[in-house]
Amino acid sequence: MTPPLPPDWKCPLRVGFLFPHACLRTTPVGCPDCQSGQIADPYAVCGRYGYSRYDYYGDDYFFDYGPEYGIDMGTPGAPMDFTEADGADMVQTGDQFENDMTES
Amino acid sequence: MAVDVNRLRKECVYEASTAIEAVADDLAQIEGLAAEWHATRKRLFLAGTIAIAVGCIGLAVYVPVGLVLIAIGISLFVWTKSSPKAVANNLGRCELVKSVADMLAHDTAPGTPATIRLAFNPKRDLLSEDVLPMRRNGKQRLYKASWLTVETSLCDGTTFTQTIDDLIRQRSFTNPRGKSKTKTRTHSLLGMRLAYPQKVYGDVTPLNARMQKEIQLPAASFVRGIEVTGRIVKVKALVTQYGDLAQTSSMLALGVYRMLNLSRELEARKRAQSQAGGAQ
Repeated sequence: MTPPLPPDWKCPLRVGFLFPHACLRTTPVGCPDCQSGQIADPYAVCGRYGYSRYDYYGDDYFFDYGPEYGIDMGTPGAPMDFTEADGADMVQTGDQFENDMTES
Repeated sequence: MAVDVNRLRKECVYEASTAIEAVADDLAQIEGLAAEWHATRKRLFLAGTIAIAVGCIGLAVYVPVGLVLIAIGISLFVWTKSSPKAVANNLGRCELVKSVADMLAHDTAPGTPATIRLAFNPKRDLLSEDVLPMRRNGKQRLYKASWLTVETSLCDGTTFTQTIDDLIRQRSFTNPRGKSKTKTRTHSLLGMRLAYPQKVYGDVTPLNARMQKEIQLPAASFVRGIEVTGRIVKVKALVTQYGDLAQTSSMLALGVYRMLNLSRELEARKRAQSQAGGAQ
């Protein structure tokens, strides 16, 4: 049995078709978005014609437009954890890797 | 808000400022009226035809009765004008507006008013008139007829405006057999204007070029123009198949909002980075 909701309860789920926003309904009963609490993320599962991954942006979006928005892509706390420079630092040549006895 | 039936009857226009959720009820009422008017027109037309036919026979028997019946028949034909056929002929427009209202209802606060103007028989404005080469008495006229405007506020603070204009190409000529022919082709121009709050989305101008690529439309619809400023996004799409209008409308809005959502995320990350930088 579902426990009763507190009187000031507001639905915390994100809903919407064009953009995500808080549901804020006072009860999930009869909700057309979450189907009475059956759907955990109504915004993500909403049908959007050809936009199959509407809510997803690849890394290239942030690399391409981050600097234009004034985001410093090379400092700690940047939107991406790894940059191309980080990737280059991690690369070891084949010989080095084979001769490195510290691992396994 | 109830439909202004007199205006709908005389001008074939539905205009209202009502809650977005109530639009479907108004349109259902219009559909009911259109069905009723269609049936009335049919009845009056049939009665008028019978009256004139009997009147013609009556002329041979007793002229005054025949004349009266013909006069009644003509008046019945004139009476059919009180039940406009334009509403019934363009009921697909009600379905389209319902679809737009349904889409907007997902992202508006309950009770948010929407301003709607839906014309079933809009005035055609002549855009150009040219001679049609290679055709005898060939003429080509281009008209524009604006029939829909929808405006409302979304719960993110954006003002959403959508318009639809029909672009009508009418070609008339005389064929080799000497008959006059007229051919009409109608495309629709769907315009969308989103006045977005810069506080939420920042300046979307850098995403202008990407927006064109992101917008996906049905095969018979094409993006005709995008204009992005620091406050407004305007897009236009040409829809060549009437049945694609509702889907094109939704997909166009989705394409624009995919970029607005990206802009919001970039703005949020910038704020997070500057806060993290300030804390260190």
